Amino acid sequence: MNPELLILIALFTPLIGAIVALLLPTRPRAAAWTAIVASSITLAAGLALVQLSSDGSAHAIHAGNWKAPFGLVLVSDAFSAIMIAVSQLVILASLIFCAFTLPAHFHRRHIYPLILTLSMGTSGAFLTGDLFNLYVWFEVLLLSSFALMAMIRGEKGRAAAWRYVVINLVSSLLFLTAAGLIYGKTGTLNFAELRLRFAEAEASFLIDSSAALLFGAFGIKAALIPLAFWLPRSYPQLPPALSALFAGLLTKVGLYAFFRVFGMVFSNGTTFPHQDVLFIIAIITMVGGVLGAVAQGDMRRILSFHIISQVGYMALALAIFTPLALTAGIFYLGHHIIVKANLFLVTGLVERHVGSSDLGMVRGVARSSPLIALLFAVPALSLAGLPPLSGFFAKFALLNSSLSIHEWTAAAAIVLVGLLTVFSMLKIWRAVFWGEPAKSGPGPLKVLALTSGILSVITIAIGLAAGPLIDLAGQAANGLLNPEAYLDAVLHSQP
Amino acid sequence: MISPFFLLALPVLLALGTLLLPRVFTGLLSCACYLVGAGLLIPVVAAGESHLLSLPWVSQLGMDFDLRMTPFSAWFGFLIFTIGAGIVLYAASYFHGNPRLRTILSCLLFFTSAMLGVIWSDNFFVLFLFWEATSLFSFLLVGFHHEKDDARAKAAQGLLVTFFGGAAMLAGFILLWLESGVTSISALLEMDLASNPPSTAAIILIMLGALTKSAQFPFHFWLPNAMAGPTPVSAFLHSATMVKAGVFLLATLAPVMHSHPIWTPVLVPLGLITVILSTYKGLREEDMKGILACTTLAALGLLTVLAGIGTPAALKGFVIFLTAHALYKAPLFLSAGNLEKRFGTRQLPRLRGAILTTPVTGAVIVISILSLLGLPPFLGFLGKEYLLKAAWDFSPLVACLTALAAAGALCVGLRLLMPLLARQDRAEVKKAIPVAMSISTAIPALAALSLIALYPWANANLLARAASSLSRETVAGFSFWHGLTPALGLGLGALLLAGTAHLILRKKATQPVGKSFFEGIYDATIGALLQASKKIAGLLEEGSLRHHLAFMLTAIGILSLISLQITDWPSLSNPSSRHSAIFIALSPALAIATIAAARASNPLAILVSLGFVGLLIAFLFLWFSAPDLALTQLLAETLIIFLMAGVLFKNRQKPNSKSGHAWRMIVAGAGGLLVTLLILKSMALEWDHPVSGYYLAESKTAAFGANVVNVILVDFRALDTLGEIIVLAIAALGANAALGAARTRSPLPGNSSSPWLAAGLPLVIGLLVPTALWIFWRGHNAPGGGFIAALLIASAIGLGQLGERPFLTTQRMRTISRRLLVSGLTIALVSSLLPLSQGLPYFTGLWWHSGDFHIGTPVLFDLGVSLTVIGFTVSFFRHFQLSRF
Amino acid sequence: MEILISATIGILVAAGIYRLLGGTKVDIIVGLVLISQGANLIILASGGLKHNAPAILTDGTKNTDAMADPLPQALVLTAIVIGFGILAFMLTLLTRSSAK
Repeated sequence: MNPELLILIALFTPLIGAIVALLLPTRPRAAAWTAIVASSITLAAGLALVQLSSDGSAHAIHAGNWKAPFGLVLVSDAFSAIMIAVSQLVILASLIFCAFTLPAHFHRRHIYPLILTLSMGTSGAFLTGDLFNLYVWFEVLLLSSFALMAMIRGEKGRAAAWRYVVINLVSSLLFLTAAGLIYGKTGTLNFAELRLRFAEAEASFLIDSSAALLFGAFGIKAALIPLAFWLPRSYPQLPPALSALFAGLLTKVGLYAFFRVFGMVFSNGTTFPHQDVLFIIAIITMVGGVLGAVAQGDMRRILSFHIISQVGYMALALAIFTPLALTAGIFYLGHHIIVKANLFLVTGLVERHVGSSDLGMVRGVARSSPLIALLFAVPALSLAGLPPLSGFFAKFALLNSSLSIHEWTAAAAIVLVGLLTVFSMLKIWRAVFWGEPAKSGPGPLKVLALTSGILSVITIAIGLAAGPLIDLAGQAANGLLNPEAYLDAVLHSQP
Repeated sequence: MISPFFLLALPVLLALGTLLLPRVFTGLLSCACYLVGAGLLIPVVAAGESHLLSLPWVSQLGMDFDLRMTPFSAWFGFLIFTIGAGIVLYAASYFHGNPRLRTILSCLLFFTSAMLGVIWSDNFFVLFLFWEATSLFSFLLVGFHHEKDDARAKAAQGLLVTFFGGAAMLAGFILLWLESGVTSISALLEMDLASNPPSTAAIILIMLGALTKSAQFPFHFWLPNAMAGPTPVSAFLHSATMVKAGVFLLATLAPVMHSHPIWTPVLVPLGLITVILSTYKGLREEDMKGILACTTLAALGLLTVLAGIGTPAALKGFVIFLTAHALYKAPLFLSAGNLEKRFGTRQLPRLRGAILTTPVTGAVIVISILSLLGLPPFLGFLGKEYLLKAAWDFSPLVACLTALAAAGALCVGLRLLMPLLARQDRAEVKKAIPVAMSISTAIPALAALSLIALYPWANANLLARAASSLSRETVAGFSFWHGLTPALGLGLGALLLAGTAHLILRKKATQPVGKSFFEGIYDATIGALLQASKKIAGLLEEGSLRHHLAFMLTAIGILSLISLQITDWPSLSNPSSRHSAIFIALSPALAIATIAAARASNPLAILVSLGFVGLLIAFLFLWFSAPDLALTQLLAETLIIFLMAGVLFKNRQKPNSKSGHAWRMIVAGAGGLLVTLLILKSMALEWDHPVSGYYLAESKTAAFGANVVNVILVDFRALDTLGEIIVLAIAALGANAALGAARTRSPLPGNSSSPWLAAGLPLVIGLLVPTALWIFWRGHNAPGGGFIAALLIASAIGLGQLGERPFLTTQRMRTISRRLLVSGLTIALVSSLLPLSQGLPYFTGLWWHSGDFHIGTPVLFDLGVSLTVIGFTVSFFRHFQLSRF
Repeated sequence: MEILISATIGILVAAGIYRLLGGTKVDIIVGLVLISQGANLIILASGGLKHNAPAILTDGTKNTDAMADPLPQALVLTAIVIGFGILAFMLTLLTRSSAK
């Protein structure tokens, strides 16, 4: 299949699906199926793109037949392809959970078109090669998430939604301002073109101050400390099917933006603006997030704080900025999206089984439903970094990269935070899964258990196949550090 | 020839069988398979060669699946399988009738594989993998009775301590790799390790891993606590196998590391201290399992000392000591379980004379304790002899200290044995011990006895081979008599000392020792951790929105300010002189309007001031030669005011709280200053703008439009616009999501029925609609376009709703808005994808020309945009109940 | 002129931030409106401001350098519309909380 067509499929299929789903307001099943089919097609396209770019090549399509940097480009390199494939997988899993667990009023609120527009926003963000276009896709993504947030009923839900919306809007405004300022200073918004300009050393100082605004914008989205105030108050309010989507995806899109814009566009291959600040913030985020998690008393809250901590890991990978570190970071991104979404889905299973995920109120799920316990154990151990699951290789590579450049603080932080993550997972295990079961409902629906099970199997498979996958991540990392293929595809290929 | 490494997978297969096909796979079958496995390993040991297996896995990270089976590790494997056979059979009987029998059996089986993986790994990181697996299974096994708080807490403690050590070990291995360039033990053993800080750090970290795993000082506290697990678990993991992993690693690495200055001075003292501490505790313990745990600690301590000494002689002693200990300790634990079953208790004072009434178990106990005490002809004697011999060869002082420490351990052993042989106050028999349990208890002891019975052959072919491979020197074997050596003397001395001490101490009433100091440190650390985490969670979560916003904005602002580097700017070229009067009036007017908006508190004031702000900005746009912008701004502003009016007047919240003016001003002022500087900086930097130049050049010729801004929107950068209308559609859906059933039923304050409206409205609307169409049509070549036209039409609709008889009911508005949104999006989508049919990229303009008249897909796209915008605004009119019906 | 316009935009943004930190929902919305207007102006200003420059191409245009830079205008237009959409959505959040 030619890559140009695949890119178009990856971007437009969710939109077509959304339009179709909008035409079916009275038929929730049909709308759900539309969404599932659309996501499956997009997932297939993403996987095909991964296959095509595994040799490090990049493909671009030029909208309107205008050559770059005058028209807009969509570019697929290894990094984008990986992100698309993984995020579509999670969207698909989330859709299945939505179809079976959400009460009917969600469908009347157009949940399926909104998830599909969210999907389109993520695909657009991953594929775009223009800074303002990235802003537009971020807005698509963000507003879809606002709409989904707004569906939560209840006082707390509304407060959570409001807080989420306001803080993310501030982030959007920062992004917009920064984009404008950067255009003013450099005369272009195209990633490839900007990269060429910043390839000379010291050239990026010109946009340091605007890059700081962008740092803030992406930092809010990615939930770095001290910009993460919105996360602990909002994520725990979401129903599990949606929280899997949010937790798995949204912060990672912010991280993607960091990797792409700071790691590739603004960098000269060795350093990028505010790299030292990112390093410090990454460590603070890692440690702060997991310490916050330890104090919580509810599965969802613990897992939400974990998101912050894990984001710190990936930010650290970027801040270290060696080929191995970037490889670790990209591998981590892929692994984490799957594992985090899976954990939230399992939380949903627990809640359906025993009615709550509060650590004080639940007991003994390991005995009343060993299946749920197993479905929890796999992603939890992967997150904690136990070999041979995917999380181990991500942390291992990161530890390796920091030790090899003698960054002792980073290495110590990685190890320490890993232990604390184990500690907080232990807390969940001891409270929720161990003990004598108090009461229990029915076991999980087969299709839900199957979905979570498939994600767990993928987590294991990533670990077992870590060799080729690290190679793939390495290609993606190389594409950021030495983006010749990217630049070529954008600037020199025939539109 | 099947590779012996298949034995690694054997327990896993058995475990899967137990889980999936329970009737077929019983404890008996597993026991039999284990014995077969043990048998298969004997020729491997006897052959005296190493086997290697190498599978590529993640070579980039140095982690290939490399396995190595030396005669020593094969011998250790033999021990594991032999003891495991007994354990598995025992567990099947011990848990007979328990619905969770399969769980624990399969856990034990999985654990066996993990343990075999530890001893047969060659690659550092594969070792780590199996190491952590053993910790994990230990956790699950110790916590088997997890309905008890105690078991849960202690299992968690063991896990955390060993994971901590494991993580340190991983870091150590990575450092070792970076330092030496090798990733496998076999390669490491061929090298010389330089003595520099990185390798010292690596060694310390690896030692941490081993010391935590083998419960050496100061991590010794978790092992006695692990006795909370069921007896078969304690027998297998916490005496014979898992805890040995640490000392195993130390001994394996000793040949290359013992010459490093830090190795011996750290390990030997720690080992000795552990032995002494275990004696202290063991002499006060009353639970049989507890006492056995202490003797295990002691044995591990002595093994640590041997590994610490690291000479070939020490490693030779290591092999025999390990063998002896494994073969006598496991049966002792199992016997404790048997006695518990038979007499209902594990407390020593209530088990007096137990041996006398229990034939099989009693015999096993006696044999095992005699071995523990180091009496010939048992293997324990050899162990003690070679321990002291190696210590003496290394340093007589160390040997004496070792002997003293050993004496303590022996004393504990005596303390265990004597009451069981007492004749008075015998305990009462409660139940009989199941046959399977007795037999399985005997299996390891029988193995030990067979070794002794077949000693000449076993010594030459098995023990000697194992010792040779570990110490890397050819060893002829172990002999019982060396003449009157210092080792013998020390050994006898220790025994005498122990006996004397026992006689003195046995009458003393004792109490079990409380928590050790180091466990206290562990608890304190956890406590501090929980405190810190509460604080941090509070910081991240609590706080009002405005404080959080202020904090975030300040942080980002500071980062931006310090990167401004004002001194580096090129100077502001031509601070322009075009200070026309209009501009001088506009700017301050705008400033005043914004300040008014900042301070307005009632809805009307807000609306008016915002309106002025919008209006003045529109003029500003006009002044800056942006006619399309000015039009859009005006219209959008109008509609926003319209919508806000609908909402603000119903809002009951008290606006503009009185607090915090000062800090708000500071943050706001700083933000404003930053923005000013940022704009000045970007104005000061003159880059050429090739992109705009291209647009201006190509717009008329290639894109057939004179209004360049419009051409950019629907042609050059149409993808942006597509995203933008999708945003609008989402906003409409989102409003639906947000309001749902919460939509108020009260419409706007009554639609008035003034005659002016009745007459004027149709007129205005009649003007607006054709104007809108005209603006749409001419947008490509003059100020105008899809947005502006759509906003005009939306305004017309809005006006129409204000009249006395609005023509759109809520229901109609809903249908129309949905249809408009869907059709708008579809038309936009179709127009963008249409070029694909011509083999052109998406969004390429397809044009039909007739003279000077051009029409093409971008115009179609513009139509789609318009429809979406109209649909969006109508939907919001509906949401805000701008209709009476 | 540059200084004047920069200062004006600065005041606009400052007013917006002040209002944003006000504490009530209405404050936040008004503040966001002001800041987004400011952001639009920032884009236009940093793109280069020309007064009285032709904005539409005519047949006789030879010197495109004198024309107004169209790209920031297009960006601002997109931003205005997106802002409009988001603002409308936020108003619904405001409505429902006051509709209890």
